[in-house]
Amino acid sequence: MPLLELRHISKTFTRRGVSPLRAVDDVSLTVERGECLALVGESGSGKSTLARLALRLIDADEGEVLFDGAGLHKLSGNALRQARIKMQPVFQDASTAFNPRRTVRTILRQAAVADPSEAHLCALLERVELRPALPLLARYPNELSGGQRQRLSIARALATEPSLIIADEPLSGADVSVRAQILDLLADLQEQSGVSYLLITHDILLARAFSHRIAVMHQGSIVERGDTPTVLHAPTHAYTRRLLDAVQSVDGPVADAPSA
Amino acid sequence: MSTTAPAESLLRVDALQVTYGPPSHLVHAVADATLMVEAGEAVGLAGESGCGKSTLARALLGLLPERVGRVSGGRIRIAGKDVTAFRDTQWAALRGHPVAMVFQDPLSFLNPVVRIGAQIAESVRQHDRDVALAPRCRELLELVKLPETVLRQYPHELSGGMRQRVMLAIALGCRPRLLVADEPTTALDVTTQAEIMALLGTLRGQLNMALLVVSHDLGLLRWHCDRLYIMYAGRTIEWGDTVSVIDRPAHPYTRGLIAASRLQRGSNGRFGALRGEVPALEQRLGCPFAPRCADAETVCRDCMPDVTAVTGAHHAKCWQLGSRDAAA
Repeated sequence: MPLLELRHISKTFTRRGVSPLRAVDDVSLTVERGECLALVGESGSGKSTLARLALRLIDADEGEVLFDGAGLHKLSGNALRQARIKMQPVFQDASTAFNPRRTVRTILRQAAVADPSEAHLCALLERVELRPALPLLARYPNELSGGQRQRLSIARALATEPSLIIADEPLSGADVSVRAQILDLLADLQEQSGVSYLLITHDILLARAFSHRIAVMHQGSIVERGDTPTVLHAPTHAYTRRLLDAVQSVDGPVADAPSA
Repeated sequence: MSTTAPAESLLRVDALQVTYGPPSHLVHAVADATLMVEAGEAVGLAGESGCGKSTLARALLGLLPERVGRVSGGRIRIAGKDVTAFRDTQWAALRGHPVAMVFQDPLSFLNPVVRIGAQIAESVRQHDRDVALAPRCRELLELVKLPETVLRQYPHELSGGMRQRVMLAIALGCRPRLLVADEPTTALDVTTQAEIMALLGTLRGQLNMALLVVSHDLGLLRWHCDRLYIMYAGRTIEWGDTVSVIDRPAHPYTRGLIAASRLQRGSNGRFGALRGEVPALEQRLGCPFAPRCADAETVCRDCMPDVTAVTGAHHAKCWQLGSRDAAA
């Protein structure tokens, strides 16, 4: 049984005076335990909408979301909250992901409901390599650097011991040198705890570095999917080829470079 | 600009310093920058956020925030003319021609309530008073590969890529000899990014215009620039031919930056090659990279390294350079 399964999910946004926008069009995908699935697409492809549908932050028009075998669409209130504890989001912009009036301590304590002790909060910060942890607990998010804030948002996600982290462009706001460090952190966490990732990104280099499988999204549909090396070296869809051609890496075309 | 001797660089920046803030809280955004752009050349200026690359780019057009930022040392020469101490009125004569600039976020630099046509015409009139406006505007749109219908549209009706093309058309309206592009494609999708960079390359050849591309993205600069400058903590720490800098980086920071931008596991199985984060801008005695450098010695922490020639036109500022070359 896959950890996360989306079955024929569709979502149309309607607004008065504007023609309806089918942001996600009959998408099915699975995330297996311990794997990283990269959902790759450009802005407007519907990839972030899909993330919000998977978290059930918005409701799908059609189709269903199964998490750990349970249909999220059937749950509400407390039951939904309980199910969501095991799936945590990490967003692109860590500077707007926190309440600016709460200290790091309060932010983490709210997430770590099972064990809000000071020692556990420090342990969480140390897991994401925020050291020394104790003085950081009293700080506010705006007193941290961009890299530290992204680490904090990962620490908050870890606080509930999730089995799935849905990361929407987790590296976009970070500097080049910090991006590599955060990637190391995400890889270590997967090794230690077997957490699965649904990684949403426009960056094929990131998908290559980190994912086991890739799904390419374009105009609301998944146009190509497969094992990461296969998709990168033998893309079958014209749009995937266009994306690959557009990538500018220091080493040359992506298809020629060894994949992770 | 016809008085320029042919040997003079189009742009030459020597030991430039830019400071922000009041004397009691001075921040050295640019502490020591060297930069040279020859006519028709494409040059990349790379660095992470806070390294001073955008401040340097703005200083080249006299666009530092008034009363807050100022050039406090060094020299800027544009087409042979020393512009370091220029006043605003003097700058006005240089902006657009010979130096124009495009920015990362076109939406905040386009007037939201003025049609595109009028905004392009405004730039044309600045430097070409006698030219027939309508044909010149059409010609500019053709250069940036936009349909004529755009002239009647407003900025909000266009996509991000189209807005960047409009910004380009406005800049080209002044017939610049040097176009400074500050993160020109950062906010754009990868496929649009590739289109805009290809367009910049085409225009450069078509108009014999030099390019200074400021970006954090080494991969992008690698493919579109003849030469590269790497900045760290307000200083240009390495520069040379793009191939030489990327294939044989001499400064440990450049090496780390290249490794990190690959997003591939190194021999130790890790993605990250650089420890720590970009430091806050502060005056320190030694090499600004010393606190993050694995090979730092006492001399690195106490004294600023000089410029060392790696090969021919490839230079770097690092104390370790001699010994490292021998080891490699």
